[in-house]
Amino acid sequence: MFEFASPMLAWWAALVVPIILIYIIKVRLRRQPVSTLLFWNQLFDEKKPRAWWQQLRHWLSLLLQLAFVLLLVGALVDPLWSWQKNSQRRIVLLLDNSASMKATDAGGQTRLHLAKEVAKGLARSLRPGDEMSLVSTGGQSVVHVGLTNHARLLIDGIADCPATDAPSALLEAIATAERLLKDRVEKSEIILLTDGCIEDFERIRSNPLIKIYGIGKALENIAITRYQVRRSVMDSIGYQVLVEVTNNGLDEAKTKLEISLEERLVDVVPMSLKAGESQTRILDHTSATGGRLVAKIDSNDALSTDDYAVSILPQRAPLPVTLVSKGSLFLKSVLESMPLVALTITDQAPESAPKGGLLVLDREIPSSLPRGRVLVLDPQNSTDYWTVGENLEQPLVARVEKDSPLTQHIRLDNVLFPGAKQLTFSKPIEALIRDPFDSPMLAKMKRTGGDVWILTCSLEQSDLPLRIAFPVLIKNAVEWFQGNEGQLRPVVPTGSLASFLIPTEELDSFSTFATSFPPTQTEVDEKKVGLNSNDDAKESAEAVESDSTVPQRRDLRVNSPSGRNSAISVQGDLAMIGPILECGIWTVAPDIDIKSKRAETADSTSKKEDVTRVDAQIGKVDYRWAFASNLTNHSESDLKPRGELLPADSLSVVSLGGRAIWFYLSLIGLWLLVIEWWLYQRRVVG
Amino acid sequence: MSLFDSEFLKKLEYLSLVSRRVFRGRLLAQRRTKQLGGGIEFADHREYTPGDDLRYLDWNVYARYGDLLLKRFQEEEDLHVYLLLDISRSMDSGSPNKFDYARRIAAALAYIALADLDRVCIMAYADRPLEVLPLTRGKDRVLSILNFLENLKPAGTATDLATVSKSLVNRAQRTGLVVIISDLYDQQGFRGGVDILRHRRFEPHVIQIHTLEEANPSLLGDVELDEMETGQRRKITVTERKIKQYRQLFVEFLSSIETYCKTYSLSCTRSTTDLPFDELIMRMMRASGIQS
Repeated sequence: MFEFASPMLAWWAALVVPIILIYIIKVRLRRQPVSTLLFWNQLFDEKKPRAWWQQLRHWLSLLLQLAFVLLLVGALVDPLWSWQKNSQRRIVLLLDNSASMKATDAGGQTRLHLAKEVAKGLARSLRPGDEMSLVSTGGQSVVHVGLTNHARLLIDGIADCPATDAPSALLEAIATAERLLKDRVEKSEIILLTDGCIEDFERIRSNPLIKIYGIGKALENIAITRYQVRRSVMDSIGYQVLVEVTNNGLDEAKTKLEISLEERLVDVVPMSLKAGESQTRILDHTSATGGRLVAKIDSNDALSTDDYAVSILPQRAPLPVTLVSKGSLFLKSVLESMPLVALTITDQAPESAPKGGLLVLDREIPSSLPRGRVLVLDPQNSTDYWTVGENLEQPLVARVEKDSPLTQHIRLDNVLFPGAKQLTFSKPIEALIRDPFDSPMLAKMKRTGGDVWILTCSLEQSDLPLRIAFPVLIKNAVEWFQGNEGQLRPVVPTGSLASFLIPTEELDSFSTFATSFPPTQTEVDEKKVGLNSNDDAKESAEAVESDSTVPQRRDLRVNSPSGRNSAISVQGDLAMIGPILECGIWTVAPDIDIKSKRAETADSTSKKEDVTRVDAQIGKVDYRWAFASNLTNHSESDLKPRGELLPADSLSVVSLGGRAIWFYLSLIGLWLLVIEWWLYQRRVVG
Repeated sequence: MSLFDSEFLKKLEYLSLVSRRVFRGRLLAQRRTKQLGGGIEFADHREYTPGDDLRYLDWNVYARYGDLLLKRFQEEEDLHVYLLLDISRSMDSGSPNKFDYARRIAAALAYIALADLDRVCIMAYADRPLEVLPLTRGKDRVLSILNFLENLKPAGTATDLATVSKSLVNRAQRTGLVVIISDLYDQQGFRGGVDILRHRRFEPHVIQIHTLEEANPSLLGDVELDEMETGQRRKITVTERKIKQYRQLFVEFLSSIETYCKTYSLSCTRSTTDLPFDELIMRMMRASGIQS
């Protein structure tokens, strides 16, 4: 049953001989003169030896000493169970560090902490020849420690394995483990330490290589399992919040759902959820400013990560609109009634549309159409983009493009557009409303300087301004010009990749700003000694810039909600970030050391304006450069194991509580030594 | 260094002054005896009986009330101080030595008594009186007392205060103050001896001295104890528990001495040998000052 790793060391058992000899020639009694024996006589005459074992007390001392020596020798020869000797095990330990492992179990410890303790015990029990690897499964499969026999390395790796807010990527981790073990499958095993809150449980359990050990007990949990925010399609400053709350407990639960925007409470929804029930709420509210929108449920359950969800509500910036008109009351009223329009009225057409805004031209159009986004109503004269012809013979609306956002929600069938003229375009257009002869009555045109929207219809002669379709038509046009910006910023579920559309204009202005400064002293020095590794990259970047067909390469810095940051390099405008392992607001920033540039040139008056602008931006969370991430995962929020799990305690038994036999023998020996010392050296036994 | 060096003598002088100035002789000397006689301090009246000395008749009372009353006065006389010094072998132990310590205390008390014109007798004893310095008076006798004490050696095979007390009461011409300086490790018990003195109207004062080692022994393990006084031996195994019990027993022994003395209104002083002897004397003086 037993074999010994170092049988030669059994010679140390010969130590028992001198111990017995020393015992036999035990030290003679010391003689001690005292003034009187009065008290000693009283003391010893009162209580005479009563028990038989007291007669054998010295023998017990000898036995304890001999047992100590034999146990020590036993530890030195290092006994092994026969199965330990025969099996040179290779283990891949899959440590589940997904979000559900952050649940606080009985005893106030997280499941991950308990799993780590078990894992450390397993690492300590490694025998010579055994190998173990550590792979974490939270969000993605990460090999923390490759196959090794070094227990300390494994224990450090286990201790450093971080908790994540992501769901378990178990299949990926199993594939990694199998790859690690593929060269020798026999005597290999994959040990999964998990709480059982995993998908595909049966499939995983059917794998003969895997043993699943359970951590923690089934716990009740109320969670936010779906959360998205979007701007309302009907209201330019409105927004809709979609929230799903699930009760994963066994009893009915009551809670309150609180919605707050930038820490101001927006809504409180009381909810009553039956066991296992999910309730979805769509909440409508308005805000032009946008910001950080938080949903929180009032629940004191085991897992707090899913009691909280965050999203970014895009800001709706006012659109500067310049109306050039001799006095169209209907048009003016419609534009003024739109909440996000900053209207300016003039009778002289400017050379271009306001920056980032819209120019509305009524009737009189300059021969050279102004640059920028232009909305044209009832053009009376020709321009470089079209020629105005005769009035249409039958200005009746015959066909409306239903799929275009410019004509959505309007009904104009068989409506007359009196005064509508025949327009001949010099550039391709998309006709949205046509007369029976297919002549365009409403069209949109794409051009380099800015898109153009043209409606040929006399507002004075027709009843169009009196119809409900008119304000809707203008609203559609304004929103089309405004674009989709600020409509929806999807919340990224943890564990997935975040596709982040870089605000390129902003990034380019940052880059221009940064490169407009003279180089710092460090950069100059680096250049001198040729240490600036970015030189080549810059040169190649310049080359790329000159070639417009190749997307520009951008260096970005991604900051996680917990403050960790990492650098990424992106080709083009779309950055793929992740997998996302933390809940909260992630920010992306251009990897430009603006602060140091600003510090070096703060006194330069020529840059004063730029410096002021950058100062305002530094240290501020710009939600255009951010995205939100939440757990919102049914599987992780349901804190009940999906199937039968092996108890983690049994893993401790297999590994003898995480220690080798020699350790326990030494421990028992030490105990015996302490007992002997306490009883005899401290003279407890008289 | 001799037992009574110049430093010691200086301390004696100091103690003598303190006893006179501060305590006004309340410790030993200048004490009024309880006998009534021919003193000058009025005590009380008694009825006249034929044959009484007419000089002491209170004529004022007779003139006022017509009663014949005789005035009584408190008689003043010297106090006899008997110092019973235990010189058994049990006293020859510890550091500082218990025997030397006892002799210094005896010397100090004798000096104070002689300075206050009292009579002093020193009886060194073990199982019986071994050396006796008869009653003596006058400060000029100090040196002979110191010589006597210096020449004493530990002796005897046991301690028996009862026998010594009997011997003292038989020898003493008059009653007086008896100061017992001993460790009181009396095999027969010290109470019998003190009782004899009490019954014979002596005023016993007990000074029990012991060493720190005796109160808190540092023995541990298997030892053979050798009693210095009797030569008796005992093999024992001393454990922590036994040490605790010993300490408890010793505390009980000391408190029994105190209880006994309190019961019979006797002065009692306990001390370890590490306490300077002059401190002990001062402590006794203070205690006496409070009592008288």
